[in-house]
Amino acid sequence: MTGTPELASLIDDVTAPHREEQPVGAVSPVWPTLVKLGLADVGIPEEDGGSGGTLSNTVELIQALARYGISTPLIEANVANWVLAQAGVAARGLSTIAVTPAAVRETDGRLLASLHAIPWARSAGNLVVLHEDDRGWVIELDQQDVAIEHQANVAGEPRDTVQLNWAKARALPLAISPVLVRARLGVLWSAAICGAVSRAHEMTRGYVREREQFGRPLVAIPAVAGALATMRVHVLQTQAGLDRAVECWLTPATDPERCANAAAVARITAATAATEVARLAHQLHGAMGITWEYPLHRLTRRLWAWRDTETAEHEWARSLGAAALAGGEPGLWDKVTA
Amino acid sequence: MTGTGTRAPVVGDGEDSEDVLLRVLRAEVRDLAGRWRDEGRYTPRSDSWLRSFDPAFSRELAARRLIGITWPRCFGGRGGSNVMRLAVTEELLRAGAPVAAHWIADRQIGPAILRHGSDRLQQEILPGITAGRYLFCLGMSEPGAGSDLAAVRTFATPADGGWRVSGRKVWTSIAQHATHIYLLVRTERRERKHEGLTEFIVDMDSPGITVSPIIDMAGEHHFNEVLLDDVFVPGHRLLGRPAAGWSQVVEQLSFERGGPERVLSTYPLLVSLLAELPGTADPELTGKIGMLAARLAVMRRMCGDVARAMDRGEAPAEQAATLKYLGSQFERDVIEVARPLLGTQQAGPDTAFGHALLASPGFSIRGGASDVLLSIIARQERT
Repeated sequence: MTGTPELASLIDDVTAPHREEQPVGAVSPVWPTLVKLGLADVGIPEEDGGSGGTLSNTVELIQALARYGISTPLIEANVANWVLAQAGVAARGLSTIAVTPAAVRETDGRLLASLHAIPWARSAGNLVVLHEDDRGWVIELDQQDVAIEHQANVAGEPRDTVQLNWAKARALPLAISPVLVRARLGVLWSAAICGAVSRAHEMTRGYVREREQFGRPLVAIPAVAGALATMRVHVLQTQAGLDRAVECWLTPATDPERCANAAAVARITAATAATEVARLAHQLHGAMGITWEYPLHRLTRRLWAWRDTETAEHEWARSLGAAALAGGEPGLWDKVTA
Repeated sequence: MTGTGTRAPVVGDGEDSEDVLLRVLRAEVRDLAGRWRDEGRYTPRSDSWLRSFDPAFSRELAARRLIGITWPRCFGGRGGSNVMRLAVTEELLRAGAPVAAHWIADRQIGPAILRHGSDRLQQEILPGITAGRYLFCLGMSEPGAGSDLAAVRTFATPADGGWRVSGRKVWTSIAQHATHIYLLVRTERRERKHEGLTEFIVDMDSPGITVSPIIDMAGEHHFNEVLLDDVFVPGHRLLGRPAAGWSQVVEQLSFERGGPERVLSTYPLLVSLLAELPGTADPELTGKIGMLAARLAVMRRMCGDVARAMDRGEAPAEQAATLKYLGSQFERDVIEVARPLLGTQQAGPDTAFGHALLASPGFSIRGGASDVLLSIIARQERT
């Protein structure tokens, strides 16, 4: 999918000073700029308090940030704000989100729950919790009945444990099902992986064309060329899966089932690509690629983590398989793979 | 920034007129194939585009103007898009319908004649294909020219009013039924083997042509050896320019590779597998089916992308090679996923499982071996 030139050049300008950042578990200093420019709320209608644009604009921005290995809570904030906007609720500061099957007890506007792997909870002002049974709340995290324990994914990105000890919560009138929210998260995570795999492929391509062994560039060795071509094939697949998932959201009327299936397809394809591209990128880079100084790990560590972030690859596969089985062959053809 | 964004979702219908046209076409093919199947006139099978041969079905498609969809109306085509053609070919393969009789002509010979053929050759051949009367086989491979196609040695020498051709072609599917053969032959001996090749369209009933069967490992006869012994070919049957055969055939191969038959050869086995599972399966198998579904969805998308690129006048050679490379892996993996359920009992050669498995070694050989396809993709990476 081709992006808009204005947005592309804006993204270029904004990210340029931040491309060498190391993953340190903190929100990149670029984040306040993104918020100020309204980029954090791209893809949310202006009449709902967003910045307008479509989901393909959000995807473009996420791909760019992922390419450069810049850590921001954009995916969580964007989807949390979208949910809050649809519910007609205003929240101040950074919001993050969790769609969870975990036990959540509710009494008198207070919640008891233990939630794991919540992205950026330590930096967020609000947490949107959607239970799979269609209940939803927004919780201010700066209150005494909330305890946040710092945890991280393998890339060092914050994935905190949040204890709600009968914490005050505001129930959300949900206009959107948790399935659709998870689908939107899935599309955006596919976009992040797509950005990172394409950059890992480019970086590797550059390396094997320059690095010489046995008196010639590595790429002249057929096995190396084949591995590089395999990476390229994964990039093309990931992009194709992402494109079809984004398109579902661009039609005037969104079909939730189609969005969910397409998100699963994109997410599975991206996760499979992440595994293979990370493996081959390291293999072709040799020892250089496993140093802290060389920037490859900024991509590969994230790729490893993002395969199973929010909803794990195998869970997506099972839910897509269940959709295929439930509809029989006509379902597989018309609803899952069309 | 302005835009519509995404409002609270409503199930609805954003179809435009092309969508409607495609839906109607798909329904027509589905109904037709369904009726033939229900009447017992064919049994769905894997690899139907190569192994399931019924000229009556091809003529039925021709009568509905479903052959040569992208070709001009004056030749019996519809002047339609490659996207329209894809809708039809996908539904035919999905149904495992007997399409081998016209497949090669519709997919690559007709388009090659449209690109390079003289007016006379177009008028002589194309209406016969769209009518379902002319059945084509491909005289490309030879005993010494497989993956290395440019090594062909079959030779044509100028003769009064045309050419005389001698040589040997192998792996020629459906030659035993074909009315015509496409030939890639050498017309000049040059230092570089890619030069001096020329393409011809030849009548199968020409004196000097002998067809001998090559039975495959499934015990089936679709391959043949075609012996050409001093066969006379009229001059106007030369396709395109003399000695320009290599660049022309490379184009043809990119058409050959980018279609849904490179993905859907074992789809009928997947249909059988779903039919065995009453709406659910254990989590492990469910996950495997989900993985297959994701790959299929992406490849169907890529088939659409290739068709759209062709409609824009592009020759998407890299995408087509990518699709074929991925497709043959998928076709094989379908068999492995089906194996625990369908491969343990009643899995003889003439079952859905047997058909797919015994056809499978060919998936990554025909139309370019997988390693060769990867090297085509790799070549783009080097420059």
